[in-house]
Amino acid sequence: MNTKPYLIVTAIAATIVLLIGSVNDAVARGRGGGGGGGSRGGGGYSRSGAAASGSFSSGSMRAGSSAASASGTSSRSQAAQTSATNRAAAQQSRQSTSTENQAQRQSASAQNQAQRQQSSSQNVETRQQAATNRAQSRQQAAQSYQGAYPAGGYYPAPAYGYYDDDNWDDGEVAAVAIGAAALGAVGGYAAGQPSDTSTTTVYNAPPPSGSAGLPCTPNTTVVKGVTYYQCGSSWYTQAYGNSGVVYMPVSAPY
Amino acid sequence: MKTNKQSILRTALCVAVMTTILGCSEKAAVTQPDTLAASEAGSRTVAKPAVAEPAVAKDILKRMAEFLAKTPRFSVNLADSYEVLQESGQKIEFGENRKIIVSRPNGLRVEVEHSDGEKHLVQYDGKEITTFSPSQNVYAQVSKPGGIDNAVMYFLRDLGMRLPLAILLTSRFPAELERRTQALDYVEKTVIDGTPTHHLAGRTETVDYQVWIPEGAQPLPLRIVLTYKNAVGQPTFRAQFSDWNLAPGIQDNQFTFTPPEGTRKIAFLAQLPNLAREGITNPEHTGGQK
Repeated sequence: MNTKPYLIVTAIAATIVLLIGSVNDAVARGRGGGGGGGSRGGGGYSRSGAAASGSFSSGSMRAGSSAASASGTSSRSQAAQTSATNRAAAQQSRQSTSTENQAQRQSASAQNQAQRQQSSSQNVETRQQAATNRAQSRQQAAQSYQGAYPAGGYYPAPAYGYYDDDNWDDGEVAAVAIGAAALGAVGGYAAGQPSDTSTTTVYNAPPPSGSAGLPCTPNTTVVKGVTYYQCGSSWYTQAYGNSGVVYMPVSAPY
Repeated sequence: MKTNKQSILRTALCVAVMTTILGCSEKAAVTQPDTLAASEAGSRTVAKPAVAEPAVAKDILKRMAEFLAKTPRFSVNLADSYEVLQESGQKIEFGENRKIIVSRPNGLRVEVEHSDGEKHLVQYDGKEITTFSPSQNVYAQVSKPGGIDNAVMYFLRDLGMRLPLAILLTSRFPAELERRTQALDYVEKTVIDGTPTHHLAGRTETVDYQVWIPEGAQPLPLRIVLTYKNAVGQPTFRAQFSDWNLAPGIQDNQFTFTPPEGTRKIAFLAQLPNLAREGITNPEHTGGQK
């Protein structure tokens, strides 16, 4: 009778120690992952953004939203998924060799799930927050302008008629227009700026020597003066976007 | 005792009045020259009486824009840099050098070298806009008659291409600047590389801009800073102009693109929807199969 409580206390203590251990592991892995993310230099940085346009107007261009970041994002999220899977596998193997109680397993698996959910919802949150911030700052700018207008020296509101050409030097507007047009015609790709729902990757054009920017060594075909690159059932062609030359997925030329 | 108290009170009152009067006169002495200086030379924004000051800033800006728009030909070098907010939250700066040649109404040439060494060329000869990347041996070309204004607008708005500060190259620059500017201030008079310069700060709905315009007969911008206040991280674009030349030597072939041997024509992204149907018409220089 006396030994049983002792055993229970020992089991609880062991559980706590193991839990703390696994949390520390997770923290350490998290840091490691962060370090890995930070080290992706050598072209891993996006070169496109609102300020790259050098224009006197700006749309709602997102930070780092470019062809380059499209592929970067996709590979990063794949890496995140892989590491999440690895974590889960490692956790499971520890659990299978462990004789600990079910509470710990539940806790650990809930932890994994929470991590996965957190990482998957992080991007969405960031995008939403960015959109909200932009909307808010636009409102603030409009309000402050209205408020400040009576002060001497402020220009009157634009009274010109050609609003069609408003912000024509804003790369964002054009890119969205292109994206929409291209989606309709070719189906299923985004031009330069992926929309939030798009999962298509735009490949950066490689150096002239090869096809390193494509997911394979492609078959090359010329149709009506256009060079197409085929990887399996996917076709690509090169085109000039505002961030340079990129490979774009297109429908089969024949 | 009463008289003592009264005299003390009187003295105190006198001192207070004297101090107030002195203080006021000192203030007036300080503000007056400033106000005069501001209204006469447009050198500083101070106090309330400087009602004329923003008009001065507006005039300086307008003069610069109109001067540039009416200059028939010029060349200038542009060293610019811009920040890009990465997904990690870190802002990274990239740069590029541009050599711009404008010959109104039909000639435009922009040579670009990015900070990673990549070079590009944009040309317009009154008929066709071309962009060329020698390192990749590819170019894209589209027909757009009608002059630099039309071509630049089409290049940016319809083709979605990038040409920083392109608005400065068009003859509609003064009107565009006035239409977009919601507020404008004179920041200070300053000196850039020995040149006395007006520093102006303007605001559009989406971009805050600063421009440094030299005093004198050639009010051509020396520096421009653009802040994208609505973009996440409020990144900036900075440009430094140098070697303004209003009488550059110009040859006809500077604006017309002649594809080097082996160069392949590709499409603009904007042309992709019609690519399969129309193809690219370039019989002479289209490359064959690899």
